[in-house]
Amino acid sequence: MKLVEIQDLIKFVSRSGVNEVEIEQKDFKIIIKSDGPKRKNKPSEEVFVQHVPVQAMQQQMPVQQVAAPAPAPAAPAVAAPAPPPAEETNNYIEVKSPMIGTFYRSPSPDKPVFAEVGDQIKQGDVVCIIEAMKLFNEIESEVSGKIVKILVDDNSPVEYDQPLFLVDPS
Amino acid sequence: MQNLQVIGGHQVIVLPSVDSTNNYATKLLRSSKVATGTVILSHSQTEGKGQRGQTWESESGRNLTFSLVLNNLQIDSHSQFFLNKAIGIALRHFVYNLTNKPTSIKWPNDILVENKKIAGILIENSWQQQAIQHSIIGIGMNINQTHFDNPQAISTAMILDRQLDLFKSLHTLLEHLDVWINKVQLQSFQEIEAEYHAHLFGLHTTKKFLAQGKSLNAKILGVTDDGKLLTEADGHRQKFDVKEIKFIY
Repeated sequence: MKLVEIQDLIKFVSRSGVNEVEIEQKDFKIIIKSDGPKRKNKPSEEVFVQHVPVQAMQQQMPVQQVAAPAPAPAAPAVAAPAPPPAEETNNYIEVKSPMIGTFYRSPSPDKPVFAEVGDQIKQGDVVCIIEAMKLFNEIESEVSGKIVKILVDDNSPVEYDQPLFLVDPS
Repeated sequence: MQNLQVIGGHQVIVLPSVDSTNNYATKLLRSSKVATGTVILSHSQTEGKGQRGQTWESESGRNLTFSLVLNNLQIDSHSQFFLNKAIGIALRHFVYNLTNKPTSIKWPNDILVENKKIAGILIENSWQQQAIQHSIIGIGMNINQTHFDNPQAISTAMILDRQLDLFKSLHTLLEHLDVWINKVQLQSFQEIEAEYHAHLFGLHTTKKFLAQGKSLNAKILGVTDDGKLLTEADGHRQKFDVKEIKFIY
């Protein structure tokens, strides 16, 4: 490891709010400890570190992926669910865009869409792609449920945190 | 029929033929646990992916076409473009060390030697809320192919006038990738920015573009943190998304 890398690592550790980091490679081991007065109530600072366990957990969930969305044959029938009364909408969960980019409903122009209104989806199912600067981002649903509404048109720009789908988790 | 090897600490799954190594990696990630750093290499891709809807041209068994799976990345959506930059840098190092020819990174992440394309990158990430689940880094590096339909393509064999061992080349390339992916993990973003811009094709020069259907002569000032091209024309600064502007060269 180069000196610059070690410096960067120290900066990274101190910023992240963790107390101790240990890295071991083939012929090299480094332990960085901070005396940790940083552990104040600063949840925002710690969020980054907490990603690790969260991710690990989600990855273990066996995603019983129904091989790509069967091109919903009954689509027209469910295309227009009666608009629910306003207060019911509150029970729906929004799948939001984690980034700025272009919203695509299918993996490529000649492929069927990932999800259609009325489809049952499971947590971890891919619901769309957001392309951002040549990076193709599959967006997985964080909830299981039924897709009630698709809030964005295919191939249109989306903003950070913009709701994309309404999902009825019940 | 697949063959498993370990190269430079990476598990490498070698497939004689596949639709696209990125697709294979996606399916693998859905059906089983995949160790981070796993490489899917294929001698032949029937639907090698370029940008959305475009294909990557490669003769069977002559080039490196593979996907690298990372599932321990700690980036958020705002810093994900650094991954794109870092991969571009790693490929440039590989080509330059091998050929000693001026090698540049054309925004966003094509690798050029003598204005011809030698390598391309296609990254597919997967997200749940704000957390990245995994990243599949598709790489096409032209090695031993000496004839291309596209006159703007080049390979190491065309530069060096000799063929290379693909697995040895893969090993070296993976070493470069490990170094630069590690810098993303360590958030050494300044170093990534500096290195990317040091080799950015056309930096500080005026280039011809096609922007919103019109031709434009603009000076390249750099690439922003979120990956946009920053240009200047007639004292007017403008940022462009990949889809909004095209190089004419």
